[in-house]
Amino acid sequence: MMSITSRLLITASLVLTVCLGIVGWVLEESHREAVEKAMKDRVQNQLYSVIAAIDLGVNGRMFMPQNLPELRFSKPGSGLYGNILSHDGSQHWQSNSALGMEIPYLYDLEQGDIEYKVVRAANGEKLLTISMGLSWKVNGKAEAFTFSVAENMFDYYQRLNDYRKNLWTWLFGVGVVFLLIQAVIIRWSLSSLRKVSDDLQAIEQGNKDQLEGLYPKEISGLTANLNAFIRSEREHISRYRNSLSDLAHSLKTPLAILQNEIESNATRVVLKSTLSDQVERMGQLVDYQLQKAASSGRTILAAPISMDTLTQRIVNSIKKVYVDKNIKTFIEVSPDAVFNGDKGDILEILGNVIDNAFKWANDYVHIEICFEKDSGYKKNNLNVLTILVEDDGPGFADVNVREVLLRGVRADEQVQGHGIGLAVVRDLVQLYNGKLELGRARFGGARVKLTMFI
Amino acid sequence: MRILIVEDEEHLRGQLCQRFRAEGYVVDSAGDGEEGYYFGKEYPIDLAIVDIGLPKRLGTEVIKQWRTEAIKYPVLILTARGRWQEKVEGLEAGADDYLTKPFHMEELVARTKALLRRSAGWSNSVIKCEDVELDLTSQKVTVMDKGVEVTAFEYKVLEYLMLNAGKVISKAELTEHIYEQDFERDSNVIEVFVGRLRKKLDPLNKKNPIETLRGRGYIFNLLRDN
Repeated sequence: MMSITSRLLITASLVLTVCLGIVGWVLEESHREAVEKAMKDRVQNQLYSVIAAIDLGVNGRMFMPQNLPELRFSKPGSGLYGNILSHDGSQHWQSNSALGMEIPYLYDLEQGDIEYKVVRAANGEKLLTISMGLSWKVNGKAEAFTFSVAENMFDYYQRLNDYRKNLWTWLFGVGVVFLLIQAVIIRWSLSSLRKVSDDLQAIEQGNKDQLEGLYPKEISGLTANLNAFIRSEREHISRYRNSLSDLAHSLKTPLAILQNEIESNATRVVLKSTLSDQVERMGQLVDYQLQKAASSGRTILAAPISMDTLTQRIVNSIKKVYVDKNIKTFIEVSPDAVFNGDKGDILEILGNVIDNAFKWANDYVHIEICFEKDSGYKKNNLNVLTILVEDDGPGFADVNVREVLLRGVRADEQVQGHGIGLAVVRDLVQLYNGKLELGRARFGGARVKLTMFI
Repeated sequence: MRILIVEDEEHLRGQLCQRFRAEGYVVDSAGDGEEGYYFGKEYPIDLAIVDIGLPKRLGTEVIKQWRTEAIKYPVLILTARGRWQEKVEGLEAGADDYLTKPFHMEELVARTKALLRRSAGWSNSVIKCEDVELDLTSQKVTVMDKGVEVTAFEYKVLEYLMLNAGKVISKAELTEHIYEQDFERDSNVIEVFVGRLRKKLDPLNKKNPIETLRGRGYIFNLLRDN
């Protein structure tokens, strides 16, 4: 794929070429017009000077003095030529400078008409001619003449060429300078991206932990996301590693017990009971560690999940299971409440907590979910999601509360009991920077309050 | 009562079949989703126990398909994955209860009984019609607060009729739900069982608890108490 630098440079040079081309063409055209007009004015003045130089001879006959005020008319081959033709094309007068030259002048112009024409003389000289029709009274009879002046166009072309050369040299210079500046700007702007890529390489090689330093605001979002992604991946890996070692270690105790039992002289009945206890214990350990490993933690790239629908889904499913108990539910969920994270995690959290409530409730389960946007918590712009679930069952005995929380700390120290639900919830909530609080509900039963910062 | 067990792990399937037969159920079993779906659709099943992770067709898909085809009997799912995501998906697909592996057989049997009772509209595990009481958990029959001895087959017949109290049950339906094999079916035997039950439930021959409707079948005639 073409690099960003070459894309920008190619487009910039195309645009520059077109723009500078148009500017050059406009400037050249207007200069040419100005030079042409100046030349036309000059030949016109020369024409008037020729007309003004006419002396009147006998009977009003035209008479041209030997030397005209403009010396170039007298010098052969000077490039400025004068001429007077009769209406029939016969030559009446021509300047000394035109000796030996054949110039195709106009000769049939009406009185007062002025015409410019570019012609080529017989010797190849390119000339601009101006011709003017005049009538002159000779012997009381009007005669028509055409007065013409021709000037060599060499000088005209020379000036145009000089100007053109100059103009395009400058425009080219300006273009090159623009492109250089552009290249420098691109390099400078893209240096942050290069830095990201260098940093990523350093992270890959293990020299760095995350993207460091300040980035322009256009890519700071990207770098923040990348950093969060790297962090969450790292957390995942360490969680997997921990779960695996926790599992392996926690299985050692029941295995040791079984080992001892095999080596002892225990009776079949004792063996069977030990085996069943330890199998049960190992099952719970595997369950707990599996759930812990499957939890994914905060994923900033996940689409927000509406808590309203999710809660309804779970409650409907759980109601099916406890249909016999005929439990009444009161559910209040802020309509804007969303969960930015893994769907499996929030299902696990809600499923466990609500299932517990249904399990212990006599008649009522109350669920309340609040959502507070960008509360400014630790300046991280995190939303606060609060989940409160209460039932009217027996509630937690004080000892129970402590045990439930302890169980989360060291799963392998777990004593015989039912369920590991709340321990799993506690671990999951911690992944979302949250906390689990247990207490007594307003109408007597258990009260579980989860606060998560997401 | 006829139960369908769909489980791909052969050893576990064998244990389940054995246990439920010992409980007095008629058991059909399938080892993959395709077969399970077919049995569930074609046999007169009262309840299905379905594993989610099945070969050929997932358990949730099988249940969904049954439900779209208006098959209404209760379904209990077994899942090795204990995550709520799977439980909710299973329940939403149309299952009525779930159990996570590993599980205790007693719990599975208890849940199965509760589901069967619930689907017949009973809210308690002791079902009572006037002065006849049937304890589904202990499989004991009481008439006028006195225990009555019944044989395993008599119990099966009574349980089916009483759970469906007030409904006409044809002889064919009754045999399908209490006999495993076709060749065991003999309508005369059913008549004998019903006759013995009548005597045991109504020793004074006053109430006619099980009425015979000629050409149509039987109906348990005592009124439901709960």
